[in-house]
Amino acid sequence: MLYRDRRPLLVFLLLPLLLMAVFLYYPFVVNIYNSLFDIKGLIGKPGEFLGLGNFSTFFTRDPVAMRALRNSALMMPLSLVFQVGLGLVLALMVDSVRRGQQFFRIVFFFPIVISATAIGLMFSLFYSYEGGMLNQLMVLMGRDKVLWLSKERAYTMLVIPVLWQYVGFYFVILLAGVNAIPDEIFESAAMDGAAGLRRIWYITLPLLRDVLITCATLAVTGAIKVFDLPSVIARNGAPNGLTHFLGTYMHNQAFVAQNVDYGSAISIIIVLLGVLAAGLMTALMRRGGEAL
Amino acid sequence: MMSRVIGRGPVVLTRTVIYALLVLWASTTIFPFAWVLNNSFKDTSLVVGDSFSPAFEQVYRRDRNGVIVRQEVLKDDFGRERYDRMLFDEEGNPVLEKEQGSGELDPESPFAQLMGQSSFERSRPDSELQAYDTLKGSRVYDSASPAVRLSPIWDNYREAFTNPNVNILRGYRNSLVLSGSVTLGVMLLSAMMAYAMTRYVFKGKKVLRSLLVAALMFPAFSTIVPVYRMISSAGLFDTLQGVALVQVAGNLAFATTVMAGFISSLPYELEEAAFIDGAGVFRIFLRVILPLSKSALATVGIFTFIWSYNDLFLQMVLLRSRALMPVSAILREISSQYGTDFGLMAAAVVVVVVPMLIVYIALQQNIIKGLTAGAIKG
Repeated sequence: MLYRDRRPLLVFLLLPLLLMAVFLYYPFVVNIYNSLFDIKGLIGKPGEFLGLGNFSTFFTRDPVAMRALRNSALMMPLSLVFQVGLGLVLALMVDSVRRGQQFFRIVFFFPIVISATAIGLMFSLFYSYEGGMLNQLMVLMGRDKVLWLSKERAYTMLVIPVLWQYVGFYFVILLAGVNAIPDEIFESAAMDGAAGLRRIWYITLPLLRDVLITCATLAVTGAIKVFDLPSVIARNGAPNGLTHFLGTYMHNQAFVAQNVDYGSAISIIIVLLGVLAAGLMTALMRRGGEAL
Repeated sequence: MMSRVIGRGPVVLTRTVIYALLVLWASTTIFPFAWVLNNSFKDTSLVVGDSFSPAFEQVYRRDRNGVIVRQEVLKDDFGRERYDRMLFDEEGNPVLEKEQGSGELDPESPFAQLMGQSSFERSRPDSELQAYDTLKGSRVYDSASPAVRLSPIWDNYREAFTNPNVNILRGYRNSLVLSGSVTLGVMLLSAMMAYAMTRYVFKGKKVLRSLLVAALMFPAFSTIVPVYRMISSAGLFDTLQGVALVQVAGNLAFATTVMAGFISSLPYELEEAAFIDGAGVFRIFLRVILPLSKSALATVGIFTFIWSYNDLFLQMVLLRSRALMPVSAILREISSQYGTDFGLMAAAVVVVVVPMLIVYIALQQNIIKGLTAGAIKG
């Protein structure tokens, strides 16, 4: 009876829905529309209708775009293996020790609360050729200095801090998942003779399936949104656009080169890839789960 | 509780090995920040030349070519390691003040001049002496002289706070205004929306729910161009209000999902009792729902604040003037301008990281609980 009068609904919903409509749903739709037209300049009106022209440019005539797509796509398996995988290994190890769980949780999670901008700046101090930390180490070890952000190495060196920063995130989620498994299950497993890796494989991992699906989905969708770190360490995809990710390339096209329509098209590819990856993850994990 | 040792199977990991591996990973997260902190107290020439030495109580000396030749902790005659003021002669040997101004042999005195130069080799004219004030951390000798560097110094921090092009203090203020108002806005609006969606039955509720889920999948890239245009034509480009509005909208979907999960678990009886006592819906929302939702509001608030403080993309696109930039955007700006000034860069990183570190250590229980509750359920 309290909620039969629906007039207050308007008060509760008007402002939040208005904000979301104006700054989320409406621009999302306009963005799709924009990607189909030729637009000159940042505030130019949509001109000639291009259809899917921007998308075909992306896939057939733009080597930098292909590179960015490859870089972002490769980020997905890398995130799965090094973020979720390493997070899982660390969670299993921390769960198996009694002292210091709290300490490891605080320390491992710490890089996540730090802005990627600050971490990017920190790693550019490490990678710098003249007087960077890594090259000082090389000199101390009597080796030659290395150009860490060279053509061949730049992608690897960029990916390392991105992966490193988020290991603790998945570690914390997975550790909570492992801790939530009741001790009785492990006790009865021990009575049945399951121990060590067998126990992890047959008992812990299947019980963690839902949490792992969540983590995997977050990891692959997060991989596509990488932006801050590369934009600080390697500006404009330096060297030669080789280290562009879809996010940085989108920003570059829309706001630096002012190819607004093309930038919009790239952002739609980012959305599609995200939805696809998330769907794929869920499907794969579901099937894997049934097989177990 | 039984112990959960990994091993006893084909791979045996003893407790020691496990601890060693865990400490190894812990050191990868601690070491970079320790390195930056240590070097933020050094002059850039030292960061570049010798970044691993601790920045405490050390005197670094350089030869005439500017190369660091030796480092040591200097002690005075009484074995004390710290000097308030230390002087060096042109060869880089320390000259203690009491030797220089001992009063026994004043080089300017007629007696000394009578005795000739030879007996006063260690007393040089002031222009050839360089000194460093360790307590104040500032150079008291000719600033053009490259001969002596001493750490710890606070020059990098002073530069970060006072250089008008950097001015991290102003960045802090902007960050606090921006992220503070975004956090308050998101907490209030998401609670309102979550309350309406969990308690009322209305047409279009299902559509609304799927719209919220969809919004979780919208990356900022996919809305930014139209948002940029709208913000510009509304005269909000290069204002903190503009950034705040977009950030609030971007966080509402996540926050509402968390709040709705919590509010739906609150017992309905309390609201009914308040209603029978004559309270209206708005009164119930403010006096019953909000106080009961404190823990969920804290989770939403903390995550919104961290996200907003660290978000670079919107700040980069929607702000132009440096006077308005929050710390993340300032950090990126100065890294292109002063990228070679390693000491300043290190200090800037420390200055941006420390507030988050304090927030994190104070609230880490809430942060981790909030994160895991959401993920384990969802």
